[in-house]
Amino acid sequence: MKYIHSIFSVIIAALLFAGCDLTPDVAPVPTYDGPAANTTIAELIAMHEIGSLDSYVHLSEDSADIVISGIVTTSDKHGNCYKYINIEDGTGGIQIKINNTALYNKYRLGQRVYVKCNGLDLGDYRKLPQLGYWANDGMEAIPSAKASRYIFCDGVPEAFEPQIVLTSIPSADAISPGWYNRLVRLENCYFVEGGMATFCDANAATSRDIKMADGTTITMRTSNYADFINEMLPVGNGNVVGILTRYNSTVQIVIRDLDDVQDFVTPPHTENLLTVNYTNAFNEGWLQSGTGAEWSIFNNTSFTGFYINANSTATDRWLVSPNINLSAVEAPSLSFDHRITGTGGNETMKLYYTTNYTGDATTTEWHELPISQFSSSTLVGHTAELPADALASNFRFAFRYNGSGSAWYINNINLKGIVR
Amino acid sequence: MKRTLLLLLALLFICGTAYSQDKVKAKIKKQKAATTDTLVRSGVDGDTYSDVSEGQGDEDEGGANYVPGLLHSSQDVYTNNTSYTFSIAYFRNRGLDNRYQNVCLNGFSANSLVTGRATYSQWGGLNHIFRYPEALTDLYAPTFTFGNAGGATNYNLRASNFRKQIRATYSLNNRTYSNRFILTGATGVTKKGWSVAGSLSARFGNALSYVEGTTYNSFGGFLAVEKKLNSENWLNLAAFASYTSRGMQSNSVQEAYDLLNDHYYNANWGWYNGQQRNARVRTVCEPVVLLTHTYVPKSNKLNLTTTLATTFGRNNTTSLNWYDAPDPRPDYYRYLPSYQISNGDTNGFYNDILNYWTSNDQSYTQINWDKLYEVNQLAALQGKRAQYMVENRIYDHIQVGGSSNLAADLTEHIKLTAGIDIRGMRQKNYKTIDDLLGGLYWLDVDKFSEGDFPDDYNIQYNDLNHMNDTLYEGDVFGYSYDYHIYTQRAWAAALFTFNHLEFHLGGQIGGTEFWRTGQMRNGRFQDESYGNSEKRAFLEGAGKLGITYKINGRNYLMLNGLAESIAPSVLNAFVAPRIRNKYVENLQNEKVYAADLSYILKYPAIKMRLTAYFTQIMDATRLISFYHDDFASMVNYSISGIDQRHLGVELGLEVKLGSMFSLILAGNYGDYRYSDRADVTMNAENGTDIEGDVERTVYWKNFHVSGTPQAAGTIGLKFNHNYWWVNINANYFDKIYCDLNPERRTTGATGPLYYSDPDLYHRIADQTRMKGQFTLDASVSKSWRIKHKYNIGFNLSVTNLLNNKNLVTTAWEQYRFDYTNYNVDKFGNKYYYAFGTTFYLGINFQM
Repeated sequence: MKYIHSIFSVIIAALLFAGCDLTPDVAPVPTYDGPAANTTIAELIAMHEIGSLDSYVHLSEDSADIVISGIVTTSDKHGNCYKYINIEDGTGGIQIKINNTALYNKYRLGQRVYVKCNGLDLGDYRKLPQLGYWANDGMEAIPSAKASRYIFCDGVPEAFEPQIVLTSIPSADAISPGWYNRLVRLENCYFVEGGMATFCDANAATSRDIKMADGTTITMRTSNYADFINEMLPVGNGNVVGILTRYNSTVQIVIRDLDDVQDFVTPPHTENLLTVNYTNAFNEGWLQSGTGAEWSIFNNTSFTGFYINANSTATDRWLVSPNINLSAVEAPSLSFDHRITGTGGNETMKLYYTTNYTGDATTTEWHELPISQFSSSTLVGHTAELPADALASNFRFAFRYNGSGSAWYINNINLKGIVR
Repeated sequence: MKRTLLLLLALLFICGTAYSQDKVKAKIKKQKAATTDTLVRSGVDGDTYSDVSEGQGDEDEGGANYVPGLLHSSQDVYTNNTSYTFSIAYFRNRGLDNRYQNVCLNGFSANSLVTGRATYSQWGGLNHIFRYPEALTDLYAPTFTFGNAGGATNYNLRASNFRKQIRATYSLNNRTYSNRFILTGATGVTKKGWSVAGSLSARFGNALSYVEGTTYNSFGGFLAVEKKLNSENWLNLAAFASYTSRGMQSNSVQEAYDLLNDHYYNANWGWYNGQQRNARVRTVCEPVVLLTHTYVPKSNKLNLTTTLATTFGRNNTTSLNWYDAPDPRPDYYRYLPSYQISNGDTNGFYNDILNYWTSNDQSYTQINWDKLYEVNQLAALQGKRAQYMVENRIYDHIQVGGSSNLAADLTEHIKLTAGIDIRGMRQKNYKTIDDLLGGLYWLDVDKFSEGDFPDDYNIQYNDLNHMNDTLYEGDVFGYSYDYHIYTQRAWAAALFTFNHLEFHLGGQIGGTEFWRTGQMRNGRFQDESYGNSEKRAFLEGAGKLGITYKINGRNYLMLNGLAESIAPSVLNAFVAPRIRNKYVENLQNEKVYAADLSYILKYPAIKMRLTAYFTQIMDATRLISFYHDDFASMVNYSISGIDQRHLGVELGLEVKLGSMFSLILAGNYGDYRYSDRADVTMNAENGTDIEGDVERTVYWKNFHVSGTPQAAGTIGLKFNHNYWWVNINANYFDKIYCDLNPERRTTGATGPLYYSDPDLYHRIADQTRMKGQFTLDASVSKSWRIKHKYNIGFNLSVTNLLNNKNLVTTAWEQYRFDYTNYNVDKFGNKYYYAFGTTFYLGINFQM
């Protein structure tokens, strides 16, 4: 059938519409052909004096045209920036409240828009300038159906980078009014709750503090409708991009999505590499092997830890740790507290490590980490720095009791190292 | 099937005795005539908000305004071999809408002054009478009327036209209705010069119907009396009417069809008291009375036919209406599983809803009447208004007019034809409360306006003259307005015939005037809704030119051309016709330019016509109405400057193979496109939400015009021996395009997506093309002459033997568009599918 089609097509094309271009039409990019922008956003913002309470000024339809133009910097694609868009023009930024969701489809990031402001109200919410309708003693959103009366897209969206870079946060009133509602980049900052809290609580918009390198603070404000609220705040230092806002005297930033949290690098930090749950240790990877008395768990109010008592039995008994991966760890150190009681005099108590555990301590090649101090009267601490050849993925250490006369108590076992 | 078999047996019993051999040619025609009626589609239904003209005119005939072509009307080898076989796909000759085809009754135009289309349902069922129209094919020289780009048809309804007979036909089929009886009698011309012809018909039953919930009851009657006044003058009075009431088929989205695994799912009905109750019942009864004078002088070189006519009656369709309550239509987008997915729910509701559909829980997949009653009754207990009801959208018209047409052989070489046509029509458009569904009363407020203007008390009322009336069944509400249309035309043409050359030229001039009278003062448009609108008049004109070169008696070359300027339809003239007297801006005439070039062969064993055609339509206007999500309002969407270019080739070829067989090859390969961008003016029906008019450009140049397969072909074999006729046809249809939602080709919908998100852009803007489909048809017929007095025949035709249920006859994009997420599947395309295998069995008795 395609063959017949093509024959007919050729005949028709040749006979009847030779030369016609039959490419399907394409709707062009919308262009704005109304009156040119005659007001900068800074000038617009200045038309409304921000007082101690929320207030507004009506931009009358009868007065001269007020036309502003700017680039869209917000996106509600990920649920933040709920029911508003922000535009900025180099002199300032303004939030325009629109009563609809999925605004990002129509007003895309980087889209140039023109706004005919006449008919709208210019007001503030806790000192943050907004365009919308004043109703019920506050700024409310423009009904979705009316938005196209005021806001006009022009051209193709283009990538837009923050024009303002902050390394320090002045007080809310010290910040230039022309900076609010604009896209900013916070350089070299960190989340106070990095690694410990999510971006936002489940049931309410949430504030998280960001500290700059100089110690000044800004609040990251996130809507609980954002789709990234359950992500953990990153640890370490990096840059944060977002819209600079204020809530009375609190300076805030609103991110659009997780891509706005950039270049976060976790600094080298000491991490606990081993947690010993003594009462259940033999079920959690601790092993023993050898002859004579056995290692057990001593657990009372004054001491909880490992314990072996030869009690006159000839004993050579190993207590082997679980496997620990030290391949990405720097400068690990192993520490513990211990005490011996009832010395018989013939016993040795030693600490070893291996990176080649065979499954049986007696056949494994061990390297000794000498213990310098023993005490029978009290728990004493001991710390062993691990040599470079211990930094492998299959690291284990072991305590070896060899003798028949005494008991050995061990607890507070810690293995720490620097992780990058 | 049992009924079918029984009837076949009965038929064989009846026919078992004798046969006769004459009336062969009449038989062929009879066979075709019998099938004509089967073309009339089930009542189908546009999207509720699809079209302001919804429910008007011959939209009865199908979702795509399908009307059979110039059937069995001419000797044209292309038309004869395509009009029936292509009808399954709603094929339209040259892609043209029916309003480009004139239909006349005794020379009087039967095209509605409102829709421009002939209302075939006016004579539905009266097939014995409306059998043998004379036809004017395409662009040829005018005869009984000037004609249009789509040709013209005239039905001769003079009693003397029907020879003396008594005729009865019964037919059974499984398409729209099951049974049809027709009984016809004619006296012929008596010695005293009287002729009487009458016909009665009944069509009923839906037991065999393809679509559930579609009831059908139709009764028709025709009576004509003619007196030969003297040897040169005849006077004929003809009156006929057809009453048809039927439950209609809905259109649905593919998702619903797929879930139910049924391309004939009908969302219009639901169970009520154990019966299938259809919410969309269309009832049409529009009688016609024609008084015709015919003058034929003894020389027989002149025919002057003058007809005075009146038509009147009602066309009404019921529909659900609701207020402050969930949408009762079962296939509403929110009730489909896909909506749950797009809403992020793939577990709870989604599984329930998916299950309702896949298990076809008819309390969910069909209208739940009990629930609607329950809601209303609960409201009634609290003394509150009804929330659901069935409304009745009514079009009452009365038309008076006359025409006079002349055909005269001036000389051996010159034939003159001429005519005048004057008509006046008033159509009342309103709706009433048909059934309150157990509710107490109704209030006439606009549900879309109410929320938007809480402060403006008046704005919600549809009729300030009856503001706080509580309304009951039978009361008018919502809108009520009249159209007044007057039109006059005069035309003349001359046909010059010489040995090797024939040419014709003709012209028509006319005018149309119309206005609107609002019967309600609407709260949103208090100053421009009540009373008369300004009147608008349009000058119309047309010209025809053609030349035929007769190479010899077997070979002809023919070139014809037409240019015309037509007044816009009143339907498209007002920005919000239901409630406002305001005209659309720049209302102007539509222009049509058409030409065709044909090569015709007329050999005894080979008949062929090969035609290349061209039609250019300019500045057409269309008004649609739909819910616009970006403006959160019902909008009236006036599209002007619609330009279409239709190009193509037609071939009809019939080759005799010996004495018994003929081979048929016929087809059309067309290319129908919008040839330029169109302009849109949009305004909100619910008030001032959209300030002033929003103007947009529709970027649809080179997109395809829908409504017909642009490519269709058939190869057939005819067998004729010993008074048996057998036909087999294999058909192929392709280039079937989805009708466009113009809004999706505006910058409003696409924004910068072409650059920023090309995939999404193409999902929004690209036009859907349906897959091409094959069908296979077969028919057999036979007649017997009994005792040289009676004639008995039967005709069995089976269409779509291979039971192909994937042929899309009508596809369109919903006008509603998801402006929030730009999800084009949220309001998916709607489809009608051609029926699978259908049969038609006719038994005919004549004496």
